[in-house]
Amino acid sequence: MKFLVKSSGKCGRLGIISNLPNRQGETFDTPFLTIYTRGGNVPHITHEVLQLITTENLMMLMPLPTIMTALRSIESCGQSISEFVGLKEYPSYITPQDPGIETPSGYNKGDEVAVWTKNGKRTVDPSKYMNMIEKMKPDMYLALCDGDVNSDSSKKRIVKSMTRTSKLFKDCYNYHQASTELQNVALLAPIEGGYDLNARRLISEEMAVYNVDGYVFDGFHTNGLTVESIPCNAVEPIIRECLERLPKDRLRVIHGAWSPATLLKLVALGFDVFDTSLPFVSTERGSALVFPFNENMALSTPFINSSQKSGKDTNSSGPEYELSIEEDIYKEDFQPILIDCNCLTCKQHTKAYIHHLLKSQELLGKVLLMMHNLHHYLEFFKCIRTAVKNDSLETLCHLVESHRGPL
Amino acid sequence: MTTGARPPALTFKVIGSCSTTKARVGVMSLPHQDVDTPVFMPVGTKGTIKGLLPQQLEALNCQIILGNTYHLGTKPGVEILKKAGGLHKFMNWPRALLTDSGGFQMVSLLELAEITEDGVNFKSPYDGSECMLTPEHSTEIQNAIGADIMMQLDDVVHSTTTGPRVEEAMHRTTRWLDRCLGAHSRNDDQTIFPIVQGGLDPDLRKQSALQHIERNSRGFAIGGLSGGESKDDFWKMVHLSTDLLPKDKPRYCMGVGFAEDLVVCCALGVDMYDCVFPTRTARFGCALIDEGQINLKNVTFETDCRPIDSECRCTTCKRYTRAYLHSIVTTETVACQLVSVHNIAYQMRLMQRIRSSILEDTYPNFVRSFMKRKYTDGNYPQWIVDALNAVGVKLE
Repeated sequence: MKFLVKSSGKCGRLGIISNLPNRQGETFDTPFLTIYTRGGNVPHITHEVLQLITTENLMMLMPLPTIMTALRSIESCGQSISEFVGLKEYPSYITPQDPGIETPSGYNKGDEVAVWTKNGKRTVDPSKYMNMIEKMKPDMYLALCDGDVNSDSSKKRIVKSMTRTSKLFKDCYNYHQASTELQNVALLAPIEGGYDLNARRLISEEMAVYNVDGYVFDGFHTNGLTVESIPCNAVEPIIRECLERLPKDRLRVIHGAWSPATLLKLVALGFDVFDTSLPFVSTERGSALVFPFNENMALSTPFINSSQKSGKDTNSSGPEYELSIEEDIYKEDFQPILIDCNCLTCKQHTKAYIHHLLKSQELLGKVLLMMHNLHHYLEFFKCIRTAVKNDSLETLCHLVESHRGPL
Repeated sequence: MTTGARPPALTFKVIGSCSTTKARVGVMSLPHQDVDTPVFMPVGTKGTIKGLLPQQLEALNCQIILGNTYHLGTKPGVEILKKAGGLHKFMNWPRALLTDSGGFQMVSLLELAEITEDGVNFKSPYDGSECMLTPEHSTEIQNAIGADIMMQLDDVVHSTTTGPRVEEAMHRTTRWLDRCLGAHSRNDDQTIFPIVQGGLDPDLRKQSALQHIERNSRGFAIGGLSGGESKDDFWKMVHLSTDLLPKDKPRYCMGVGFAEDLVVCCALGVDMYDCVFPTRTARFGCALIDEGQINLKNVTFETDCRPIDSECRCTTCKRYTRAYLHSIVTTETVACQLVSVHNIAYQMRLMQRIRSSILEDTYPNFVRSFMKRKYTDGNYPQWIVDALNAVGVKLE
């Protein structure tokens, strides 16, 4: 894989990813989104429907816990993971944990990392992990690591996570170097250390010496819904320290369902790669993303007023950047989610219909929400790239943040 | 009426017939769609089919789908459907729709229902409240839903019931038909189908059919079957009904959808079918092929790198293997959609093969090769042998 930083400044950086294995000629402009998948498919979205959302080139993020149980099938079909899951046109990227679902805490032991599959807990050590990577032939992957750390973690836990990750990484790295199959596959190194500045400095210095394609900033959270509420200022000083110690010409990756406002700040800090776990968690709770990212939308986006919502506790109505379509106020709302949105859901269906589908537990409800949420987020990223280019990321931040509940 | 030149809400034209059996091919023109018959109608109970978008259903060549009046009347409810401008607009489905009367739920929820001359008294399974579904009420809801074809409220008795209750239900069905027709307020946009009842009694079936024919409807349904009666009784009742019903009107056999039943009933002269089976079974990982069905959950498919059906041209078979589907079948909603796409494609392709062979007047050959493939050992069920024999097709 080749990564070229085109420009870099206080408001983020622009780059191009190219030369992925077997995908010569395909490029990705950064900052970009990897597409969150489960069991190799975008949640609720078949290949046929994905083509109705976007025909742009996408990289599929495949969390190991959701594909690991298919290993025997993958082996016997002799296909790469992308081919096996019916998405051969798309490059794949494997991570040891699942950013869309909260990872149970406290199960990593010795050389083994706990991976929670549909059939329960599996343990994976470096040789098992690398063996699976060789068989699944992704275009990019993150080395095995212990990211079981969040803001509540003790010093002891952080040290444990770091020493274990060091060891796991070295084993993976050596395996990678010796493997002929993995020669062209991009390898990413984990940056752990929780919220401990010193620990982060140490591991950054350690990882900086390896010949890897990029770094994944892990260990800030345990995935799923634990990410949205983390304020950027909690991670910003740590990230700055790490970035200073890492080579600037490598890919910088961060996972999880960050709030849109925090995500923009991460872009400004210089991250290149994110994922679509926010559209996923939003869809799963029956919500549609509606935060504005251009002037037009700021004018026409429905103002989310918590007093309009069905009362009760405001916690149930979810974050301010989305509409909870299951709420009764949408029962007779024959407008699309967003009037000016060009996604198929908004062009063809009303909130009342989606409300009915969600209330009736019909599959199409989440299909329509996911189509909109994915479209919304992909368009958001187009605006992010333009904003970084035009040095107007701050304006975009204001737009996104302007859309909050009533003052 | 200012627009006197407008065609009726249903016209039916037979464009080809089998010279041996009673099978025929027709075009049924409805306000929203010309439908090629014999047709299989997938069931979308609550205004949607198994996570599929309306454009996917169009791409699958579905020309008409079903909605269930009882469910739609409960959720989202008549008021919302009225405000939306009917079910077509609510679900954004441009093609034809058919709604049932809500009456079938009588059989399935019988412990919650009490039938009187007035109608069916339901205890709502949702909140326990009582509500009366009368022929007038069923018609009113169906008028609000606005389907191209609606069904009369009929007095359904379980197909294995015998004795005076069957006769009572048959006569009541005719009385209720008159009440439905009387309450029907959109005769220019929607067609009510009467339902031939009479249980498994040939005499009662005959009376029911003749009473309905007098009402000069645009199409007819054969009801009260597919409820657990023997296949031997089933085909005889269908055979008898199609002998009586007018040749120039479409005939709809309710609740039929297994491939071999469709092939036999087409030979008996039935034009329309519906069944929840192909889409319901998809949810459990069951995929339809000519040889029968395969359950993708089965461990034998873990290493099976073939598509579900190598002859099928659906988007699932063109892209996904049995092994992949096996890996997601119980956990990912996408699996349900992918298998539903295939199963609907299978039903549509089966009906297409049936129509083509009737038009080429090779239907008996099609029937024989279909049955041979399905029953490779040549052990045909006796009812299939008998039913086909009755219309001049000998198996073996």
